[in-house]
Amino acid sequence: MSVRIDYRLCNGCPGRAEGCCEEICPGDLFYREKGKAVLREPADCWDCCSCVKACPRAALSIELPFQISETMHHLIARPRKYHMLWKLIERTGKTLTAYTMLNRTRPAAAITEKAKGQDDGCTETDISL
Amino acid sequence: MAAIFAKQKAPQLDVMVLEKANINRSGCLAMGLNAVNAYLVDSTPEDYLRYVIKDNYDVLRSDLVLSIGKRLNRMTHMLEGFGVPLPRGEDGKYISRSSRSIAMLGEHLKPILAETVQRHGVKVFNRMPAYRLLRNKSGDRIAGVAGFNLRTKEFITVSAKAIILATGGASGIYRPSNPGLARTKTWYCPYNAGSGLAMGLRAGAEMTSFEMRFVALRTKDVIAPTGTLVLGTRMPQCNARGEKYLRAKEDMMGRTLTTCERLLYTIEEHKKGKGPCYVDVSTLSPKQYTDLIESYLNMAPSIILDLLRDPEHPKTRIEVCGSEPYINGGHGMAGFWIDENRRTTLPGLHAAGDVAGGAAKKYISGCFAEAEMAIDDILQGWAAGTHNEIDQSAAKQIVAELQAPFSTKAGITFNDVEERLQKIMEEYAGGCTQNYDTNRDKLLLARSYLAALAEHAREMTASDMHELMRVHDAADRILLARTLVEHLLARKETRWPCYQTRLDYPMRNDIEYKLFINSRVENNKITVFKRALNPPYTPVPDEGLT
Repeated sequence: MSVRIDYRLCNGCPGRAEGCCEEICPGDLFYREKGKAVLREPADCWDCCSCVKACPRAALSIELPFQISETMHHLIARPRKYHMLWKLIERTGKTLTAYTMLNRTRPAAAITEKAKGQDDGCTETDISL
Repeated sequence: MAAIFAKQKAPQLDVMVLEKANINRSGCLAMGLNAVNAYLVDSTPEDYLRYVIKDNYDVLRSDLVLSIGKRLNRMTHMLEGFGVPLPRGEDGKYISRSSRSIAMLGEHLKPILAETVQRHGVKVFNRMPAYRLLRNKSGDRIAGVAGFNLRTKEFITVSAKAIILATGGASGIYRPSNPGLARTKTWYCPYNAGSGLAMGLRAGAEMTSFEMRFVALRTKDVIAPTGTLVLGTRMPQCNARGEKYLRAKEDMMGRTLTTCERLLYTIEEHKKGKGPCYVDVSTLSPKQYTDLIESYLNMAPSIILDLLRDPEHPKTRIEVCGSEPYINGGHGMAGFWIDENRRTTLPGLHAAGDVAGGAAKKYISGCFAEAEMAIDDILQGWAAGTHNEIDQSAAKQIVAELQAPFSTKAGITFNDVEERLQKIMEEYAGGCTQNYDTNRDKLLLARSYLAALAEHAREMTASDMHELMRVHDAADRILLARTLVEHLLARKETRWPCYQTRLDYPMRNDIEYKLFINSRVENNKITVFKRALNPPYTPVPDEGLT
């Protein structure tokens, strides 16, 4: 496996012509079946995390094939307005480490807002829904 | 990027982008990028040219490289202007990793570029791969492309007054370094099938330097970049005994090593029984290690799962190995033979980026520079009102050709064909397990096996649009592999060790081979010929090469 799909969270993006993962995957590897996202061929996944970042339900994460790593940790990314938030999660669901990184230059106005203590969209709320 | 330039310079033009996936996250940069590797920090375009000449063992198009060098920094500043963060030190200068490389927080590079494209009013068609070039009625100019829409299932032809190919290089030609479920843990995007190159070959365009394959020295298993380690942390590369073998070589030779030498000497350590080789990051402080992790998250996130198997004790010896070879014009110089305006040999068609050949080490900023040059050339020759209509009857025939895999019955799948292709190339044309070495007799076998494979591959079957795309990708890869084998046969020397090693001609031969090997498909046959190093590039026919 490369992309791990948590079917308790995936709702198949109802009301959208394409699921978010289906829309973004550079390899066109997703399709929807019975209201859930399906990965066409795990062996074709590049681990680029595009789908992980795009999933509105935080249902996707990446893990390495057992052949490469037997730990079965998985990595999840959640986009914020100017940051990407990453969490490395153990098999048991426990978060091991987390990283937050700037990925978009904050406009001057947003910096002022931040100084005023206003929300600029990069609050670090819990990533699981 | 070409579309952005076109709209910036001529907003009245109708610009469209045909995209195989979704421009928000497609191709090589889908994961992001953590450095601009061609940015001139306190050096000149001439310094950049000198470096590329040395690294390329004298064979390259200096006119192309110099024209790129003059634009590198402006392209980088543009990216920063779009909102891609380029961190600066306390002195206000970019944080440099070397004299040609600066750090970037580029996780969102593609989405930011895609937004910029939308903002400029470019029409974007996602999930619409193109597979054939179309000519105009008189047949003297490229006037359009044919492809299909993966979602609406329509087959499309597009006519345009000018076309720029920026479709990238090719992966998936050699067997990947990991088998089974991990087979796409490749460095180069596995969805880059080199379709732009194949389109050009089919239409008769001249290609250059396919034999200079690009092999990346990467971290083992997850095939993440080592530049992040070596340039980003300045940590040494060691063999199993802890000897800093690359530094020792540099001291001995009194100069810095070329990119392919770093790979060559790593393989040699293995052969001497001193493997595995690794980058030793044990002396990094916890803060520096976190910086390293963060840098990787911006470019190759899956390596984190390997480095932090035990987050209390992160990996400090990061093993390195060579990747499988790729056809690539942005790191290597395999691609379309172009002039200084990025015109291909087919009128009406420009090429930029990884698909364009002759100039190595462009990286992202150099690829953008080529896009700008192509747009400048197109706009200069622009005449409003002229028509460039496609030949409809030929287009119809080509669309039928694209649909053919839906009606074949043989049941050969694209997976079968790609595995066979990769096996042939791996074993006979110098793959990773062969230490990238090959020789004439092996290549001749590869040639005949590939010819047989190409014949059978006509029977590949597709049952839906995704499979149809994969079938055409596989067919394109076979054509590129066949061209590559002809190029490897033609260069009877070893110019770039590992990238191009001929065991039967192990030395560099500057008298006969300080030139380009180019190719073209004529009458369904791949013709290979030599081109002299300096302009005016008169062809030097060499009998017996075809």
